[in-house]
Amino acid sequence: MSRGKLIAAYLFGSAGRGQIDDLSDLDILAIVENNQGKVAEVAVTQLIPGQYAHLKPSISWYGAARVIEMFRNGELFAWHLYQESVPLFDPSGLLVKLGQPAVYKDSLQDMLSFRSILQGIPTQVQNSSVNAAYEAGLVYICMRNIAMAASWLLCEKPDFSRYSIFHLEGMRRCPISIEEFDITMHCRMASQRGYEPPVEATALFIFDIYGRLDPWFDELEALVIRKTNEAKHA
Amino acid sequence: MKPNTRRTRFENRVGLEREFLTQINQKFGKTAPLAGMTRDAIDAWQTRAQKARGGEAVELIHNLLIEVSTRAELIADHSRDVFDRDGHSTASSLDDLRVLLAKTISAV
Repeated sequence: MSRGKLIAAYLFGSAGRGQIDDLSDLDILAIVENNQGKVAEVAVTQLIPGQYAHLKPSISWYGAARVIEMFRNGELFAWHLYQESVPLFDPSGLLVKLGQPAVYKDSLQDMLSFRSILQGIPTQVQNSSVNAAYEAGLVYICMRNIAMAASWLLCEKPDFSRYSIFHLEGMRRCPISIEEFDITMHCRMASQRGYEPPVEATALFIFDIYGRLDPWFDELEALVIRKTNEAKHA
Repeated sequence: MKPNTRRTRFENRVGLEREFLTQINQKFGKTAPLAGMTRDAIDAWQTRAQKARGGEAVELIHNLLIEVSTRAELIADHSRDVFDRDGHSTASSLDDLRVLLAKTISAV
């Protein structure tokens, strides 16, 4: 039996932003005492207010030390929590006490990490076109995370919203349509939640959008490198 | 700019998911593709595969996939996983399931 103790619980993601829609799940951060294991999920889910009862909870478990470390390191997830978390259970005011995370310094590195995954997708699709829906979902994850990381440098504040890729400033608009973006998002939902994969998610669809995205990401990468260098010398 | 060699939790997850999806979809992809390795995705695949092909093998494959997913910690997919830098691999602890799954699929 777990000896875990719940220290705090917060909503984050679309609920934290107040942008719940039909595609939202309920992202919950559960912070537990270090090295004592989790607590029963019901101890967290019973904290969910009635207005969110129709949403499927997705609980992320963290030890308190790891949360503190993320804030000290200035990790993007710490900024996500800092900007968009809503307390469900927070007797000690944990995140408020942690205050603003350190400066996020890995924007370029995080972008390159997801770019590397993205660049591997055409070969994967070429070799296994039967996985097209899964790979299209990965395109969504890469677009979204590259945009979140880049938004640190290009926007007034980090943008964690679903359509952040269309909000980046200082460069031309992302060259795919909202409809195409939504198809990739629905593919990700199929991978995560078991929804029927969209029929549009074919190998040709992926090659088509990738062909437009890749040069655009080259431009974005060049801009982020320039902004990173400017920040270093500021 | 040096290429980024950091291996994240997410990259490890993608590698494992691709491995098992490819195995399943080479057999079922045209009629009942498996789209992910979470419990919800595997359960939904079972429903589609039962409709498309039926048979006891689908249930057996479903159970093996759930075991793989549980052991490799793919069973749930949380938003924060994408951010987390602490990559770890459980690939080698899946060898017995790889063999069983390959045998079961080849018999379909």
